[in-house]
Amino acid sequence: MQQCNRSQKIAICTVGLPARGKTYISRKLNRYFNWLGYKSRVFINGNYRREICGTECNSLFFDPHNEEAQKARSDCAKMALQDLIQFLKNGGDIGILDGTNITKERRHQIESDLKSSFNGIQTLWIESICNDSKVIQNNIRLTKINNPDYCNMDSEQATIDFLNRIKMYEQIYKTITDDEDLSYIKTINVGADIIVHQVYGFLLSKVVSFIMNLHTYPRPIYLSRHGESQYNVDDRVGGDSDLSELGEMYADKLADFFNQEFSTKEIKNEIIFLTSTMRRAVHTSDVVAQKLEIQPLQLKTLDEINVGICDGMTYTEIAQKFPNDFQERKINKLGYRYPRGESYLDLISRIEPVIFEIERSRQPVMIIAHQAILRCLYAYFHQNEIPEVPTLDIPLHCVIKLTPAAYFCDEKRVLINPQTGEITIKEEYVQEFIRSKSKQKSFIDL
Amino acid sequence: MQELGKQQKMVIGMVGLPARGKTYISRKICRYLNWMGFKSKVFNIGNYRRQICGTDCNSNFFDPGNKDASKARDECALLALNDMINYLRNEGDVSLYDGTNTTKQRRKLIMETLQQKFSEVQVFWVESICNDEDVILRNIQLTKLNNPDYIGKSSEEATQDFQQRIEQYNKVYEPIDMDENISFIKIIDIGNDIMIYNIQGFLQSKLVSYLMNLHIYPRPIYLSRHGESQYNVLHKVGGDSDLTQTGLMYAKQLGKYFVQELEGNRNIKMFTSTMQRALHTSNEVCELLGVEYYSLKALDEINPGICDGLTYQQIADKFPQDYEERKMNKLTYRYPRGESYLDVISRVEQIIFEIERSRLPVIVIAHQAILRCLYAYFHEHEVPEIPKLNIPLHQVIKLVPAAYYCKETRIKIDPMTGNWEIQDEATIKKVKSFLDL
Repeated sequence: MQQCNRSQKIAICTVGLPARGKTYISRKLNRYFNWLGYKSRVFINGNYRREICGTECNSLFFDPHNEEAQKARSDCAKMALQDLIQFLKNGGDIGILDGTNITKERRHQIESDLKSSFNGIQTLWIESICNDSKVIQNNIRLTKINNPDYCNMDSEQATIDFLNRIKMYEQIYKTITDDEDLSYIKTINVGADIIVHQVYGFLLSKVVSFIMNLHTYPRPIYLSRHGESQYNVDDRVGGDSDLSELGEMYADKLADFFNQEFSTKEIKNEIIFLTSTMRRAVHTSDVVAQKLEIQPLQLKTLDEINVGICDGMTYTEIAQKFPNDFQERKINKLGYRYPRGESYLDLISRIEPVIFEIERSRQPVMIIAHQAILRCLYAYFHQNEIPEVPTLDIPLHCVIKLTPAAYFCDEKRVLINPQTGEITIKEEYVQEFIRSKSKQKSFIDL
Repeated sequence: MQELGKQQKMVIGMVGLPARGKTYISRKICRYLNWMGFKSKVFNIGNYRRQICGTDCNSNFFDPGNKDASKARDECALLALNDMINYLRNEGDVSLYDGTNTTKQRRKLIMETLQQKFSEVQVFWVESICNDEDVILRNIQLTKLNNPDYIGKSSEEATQDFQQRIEQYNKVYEPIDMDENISFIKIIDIGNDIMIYNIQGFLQSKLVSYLMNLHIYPRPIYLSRHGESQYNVLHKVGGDSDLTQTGLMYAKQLGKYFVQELEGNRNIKMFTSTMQRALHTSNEVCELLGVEYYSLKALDEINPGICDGLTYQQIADKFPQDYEERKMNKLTYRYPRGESYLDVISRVEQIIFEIERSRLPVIVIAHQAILRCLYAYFHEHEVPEIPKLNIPLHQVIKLVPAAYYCKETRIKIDPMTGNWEIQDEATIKKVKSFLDL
């Protein structure tokens, strides 16, 4: 649907006190837009401030009466906005301004700067309000303590300083009101209560739905391909072949693994178990389902990529029969559409509802599907660049366990030997902030 | 994805003063849910009141101080509630309780009754608030004046009485408050403002997305199949064949039709599929109109899997069992390696959202099975009827959404002569009695 709705540039600005999840929301939205195929980027006020003013800023820096500091912060914010405007002018579709923006004056300034820079830009303000001190404490613990601002303090000191910083902001915080004439969404207490004001348009409506479904429960997501199929053995694409003997053995061992992983009956009953309608996935899922005494949902949406006229052929045969297509696909594996079949971009479009479902769920999610499908799902959670999607490594006989954490996903790969049942675990923990400390990484590059 | 929502029964309760669009919203929700596969029904409290207390109720009947009338109205509300619960117990998935439900006390009563009689039910409230006098007056004129309550009265009398009735309700109106501890969505001034509180579950989430896209702009929707294709002539299913000469001529005549129909308006949205026959038809139309189309895979014809390229006769010969199965249950039958009508409905849902959302005229040039699904959504057909709906070649179906239904006009275009024949089924106003929503 993306093609229909590219006409206007979009700027999304956050509003809220520190530790209210603004960066979390910005990054999630950014991830979602990029995955859908839009050029989207986040511009974080805080990062500009750190680059320019340094990271030794304690809470006094944020005192609204500290005039020098105020000017410095205001300049940084202007820079962030200018970079966002430049981004949109140079081919970007959506710019997300991640900052506190807690005064009417600041918001008014940003809104008019944006409107005057473009002939027709849609702006959306997202205010995150939270009164639950437990949630705030948790946010501080998870995301602020490791923040470059506090690398020289111990965690207790850091927390106290941060709470003081919040108090500084509270002195001048004004929530968005209707007379400011802004399109806005207010999300209160992590989406329990949402207020939407004058939000129109395809993408912005999607933003509302997306935000409605966000939560911070760290539930795990398990992705696995079906066991080895006959066509895998023959190196053929497409088809609806059944499991090979090895594949059946994997199904068995997979069931054992999941049985161990979920200890109690209550947990098992709560799992959201999804699979496709193709034989190899259904049979794998049935074995798991039997062992755990739960039922999988067979969704046609999770069926493997449709290879059209190449169905049933090996890659060599395709190269021989359709040399042009073979070349085309090698050059542009993402956009290439098999004649009478699908492209990876079609797949992404197709499985979007499943992404929403996974985001929404607060219970463990288990998906047994196919290589191309899992590449798309994995790319969404792991913030991969979209062009990488068709080449991601999702091997057979491997369970990928993703546990969403603050700004990234913990990943664990469990390789299961179908014959022996032997398990090898690979932990790939993406520490984004460590990456961000390296000199090469620009402060606007997310 | 529907299966995810079937885990619990659901009651949707409407809240709001009269003439705020509650019935409009509940009917739309009901239609959407049925189309998606959730058995739904609207229980309109007003209808129960008319049945039991008669239709001679002027605004005094609604005075909260009128004890007898209040008692009668409470009884009607409970009767509707009971019928609603029975429906859910027997065959229904979702019941819509269409009434004003304007006091905390009434809402509390409903919640308690439901919890007592039917503990595993999810309840979701939809409140419609409108402060725009013009909109309210228009609502009254469009839907109330033809109401059985006002037969035999002049429209001024009726309007005045109705406005007094609204005043009676206003005396005791308590908008939903967060401390009532219920899941709700408030729609204010037709979606200008929306408040969402405590949404639970797949279905509520979907409904909120759906409701956010609704509006009351009476924009027209045009549905047409591609022109005649090679496979049409050969009676083959599937394939990606091109237009025949006749098909190409239809495409050009279709373009001319739209040029006249749209009167130079280029502000339209046009959708087509990725298949040759549809693309080529759309090309002709777009050239004449000077607009662009969006080519969406979601609009591709139903995938007949292994039967691709066969005639119905060949299918009957080669796969006699499948042929029989499909005849018996055309809705759910899935071609091996292909799709069923239910799969198509699922696939086409995003297009429905696009069309609902659009305030510009919409043109869809697609295929038979696809249009059957789209048409059924707008025309409130029972889902099992979908595979048999009549959507012939070389015909434009024009749908204009009106108060509670869609005005339909069919324009048959002769590809050779370019003559039009207009079949005005507009007045098939779906004359369902007010009781039978």
